[in-house]
Amino acid sequence: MAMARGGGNLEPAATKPIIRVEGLRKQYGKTLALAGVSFSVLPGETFGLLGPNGAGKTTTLKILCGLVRPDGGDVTVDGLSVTRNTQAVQRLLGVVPQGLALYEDFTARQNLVFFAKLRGIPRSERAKQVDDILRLIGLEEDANRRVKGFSGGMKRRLNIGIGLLGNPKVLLLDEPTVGIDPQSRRYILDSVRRLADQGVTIIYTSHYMEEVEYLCERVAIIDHGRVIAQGPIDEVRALAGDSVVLRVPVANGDVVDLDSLRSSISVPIEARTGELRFVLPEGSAQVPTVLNALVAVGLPLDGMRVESPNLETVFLALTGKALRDHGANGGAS
Amino acid sequence: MQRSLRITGIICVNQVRRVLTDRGTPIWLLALPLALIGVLGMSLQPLMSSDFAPSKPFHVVVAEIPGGNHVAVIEALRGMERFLEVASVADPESARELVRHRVADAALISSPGKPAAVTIVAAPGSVVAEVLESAIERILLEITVQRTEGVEIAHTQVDVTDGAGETPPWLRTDAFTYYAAGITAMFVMFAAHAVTVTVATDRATDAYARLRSLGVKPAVYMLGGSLAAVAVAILFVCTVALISALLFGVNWGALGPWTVLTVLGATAAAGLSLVVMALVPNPEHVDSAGSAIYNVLAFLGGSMSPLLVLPEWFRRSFAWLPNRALLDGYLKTSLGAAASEVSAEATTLLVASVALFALGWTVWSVRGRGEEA
Ligand SMILES: Nc1ncnc2c1ncn2[C@@H]1O[C@H](COP(=O)(O)OP(=O)(O)OP(=O)(O)O)[C@@H](O)[C@H]1O
Ligand SMILES: [Mg+2]
Repeated sequence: MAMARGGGNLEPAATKPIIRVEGLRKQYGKTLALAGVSFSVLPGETFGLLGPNGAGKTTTLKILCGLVRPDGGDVTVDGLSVTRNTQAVQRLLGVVPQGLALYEDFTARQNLVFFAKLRGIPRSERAKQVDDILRLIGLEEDANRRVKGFSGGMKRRLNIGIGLLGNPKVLLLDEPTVGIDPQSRRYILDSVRRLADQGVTIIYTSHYMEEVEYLCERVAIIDHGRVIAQGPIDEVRALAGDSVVLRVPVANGDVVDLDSLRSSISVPIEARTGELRFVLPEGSAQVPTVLNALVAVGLPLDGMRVESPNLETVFLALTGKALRDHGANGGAS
Repeated sequence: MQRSLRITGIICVNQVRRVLTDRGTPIWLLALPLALIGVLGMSLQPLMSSDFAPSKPFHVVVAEIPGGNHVAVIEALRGMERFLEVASVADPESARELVRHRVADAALISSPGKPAAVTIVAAPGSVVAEVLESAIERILLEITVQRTEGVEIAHTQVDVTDGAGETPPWLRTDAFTYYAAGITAMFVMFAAHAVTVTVATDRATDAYARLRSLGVKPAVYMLGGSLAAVAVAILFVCTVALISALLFGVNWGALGPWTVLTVLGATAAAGLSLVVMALVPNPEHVDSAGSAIYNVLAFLGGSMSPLLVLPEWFRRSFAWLPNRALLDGYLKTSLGAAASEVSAEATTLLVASVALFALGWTVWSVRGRGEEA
């Protein structure tokens, strides 16, 4: 199998990576945020950085754009080291921080103009670029309204728009769709795709599997500051092997004894609100075993679904835990 | 270098603009201080005004014990016919009795000796007591000027024996001018702090991360913020000075010394708020910590209770505060002082500015280490 596991470096020989992340280590007090993260990104590709809360995604991006100094390792962008040529690297990057990085008292246009000045965009090009971005993020009509009155989705779109100033070669997006309505989310995903089509190299951080599967050619999955899998999506997905996901709906009132379920079957279980998910490493052949176990713990069966593996399954298969925190996760015992 | 300067400028203009476009600013930094000047000026005008006179003179009885060097004081009080109607009585006890039975508004009891004392007997805080106090202060000071050794008359409540022989400005000014200067010296701190608060809260958001990722160095960011704080503080003083002159007829004096005081006062205020920001770890607390500190400083510096009613030890103890120096300086210029005559105040403000910026900057950079790349 042509894939890289555990942070190995395997890239197509044809193109040279534009971003090389090598052995990043970062310690915050007692917390080891990054324990040797390595991956590389090819020019023009959209690279997914996937991991649960606290995995180290933001720390990785912060090191990448020169905001945090790593304790070990380095990043090069276009051959320039971020620790030694911080400013030169920063000029190549467009950064969209995880939080809203804008001034709520200003209008959308004022925000863009301010950051455009800092970016050093000459006055003659400023207005046009601001207008172009406003169009791209669909805020032309709201350009002169204060951001304070914007919806969450509009703010997110502006947050991304500001990162596009100066036509960066590389765009770093840190969970750009957190907490927004489906419509804005769609809009953002399509905009990111358009940028990718224009040849922008993108690192897209998320814990939404679907987004990464939709946008990215290659991914790295990180957990506890380590890369646990990386490579082209299909290959990473194949890490789940023959496994399938079995989804069993659970009615609201039903009490599920997860502990005894776990002791009777040894497959990863993810408890979500209204649903149990089982990752079956040996494929659908294992379905009857699970159903029997469910009957044994007295859960009324009301339908089920078997799905082919996705990145979420991979994560579940590799770590035994869910990628995202859900209300009922592991707590329904 | 040139790029850093340009970025400092952009950051500075941006922060000024943020404070000015904030909808709270006209309320907290304009309406409130002007209202305070108006209300305090109006209510304390009787106490401080030079053209105040009661509808009929206060009846004051004096028990003179012969031989005191207070004779001159009582002579002078007799001269204040519009205010006081002074009558002599035989002994201290009958003087007290007259006040107790409200036949007289106040009694003055003087006794000889070293130091000699003049005691005012009147309802505490009453207008007549205040009038007598300030009148005696003025008279004592005039006498001090006349005698080289200084007067050793003390009296129970007022013990101003300003060795320099110069009447302090806060005794010679009217209430509107006093509070225009006092409230300005107080709110200039709030004005500078309004900028510092935006700087502090930015640092907790990703807006700061974004600025940093655009190559803005932390020091450049802080410098831009500090300059903005100075600019907003100066803008605040100019606006309040102008409006108070128009509304309350406050005369701020000559432009030269006033400008020197204003620039230095604004710088000291910005330095102080930098110290507050550097010392308070949680950006959400910077605002309230600042308010608490500035209110205390304003009280100690005479912006709230007039210096006239505060005890001498109190006035002396806090004379070094920058906001007090600013108040004194403004009062002096309003009384016609030239630049050379406010040099002491200007020096205090300059020293405070340098010290506060040095302290704030040091604390801030020591604490920021490790966090910054
Ligand atoms: N400034 C900091 N000080 C102390 N600990 C930190 C700091 N920044 C991050 N950490 C810790 O480092 C670890 C990695 O954090 P990071 O923000 O990189 O995770 P993440 O993958 O971006 O998570 P999320 O999905 O929640 O954004 C976490 O345990 C976090 O608590
Ligand atoms: Mg993050």
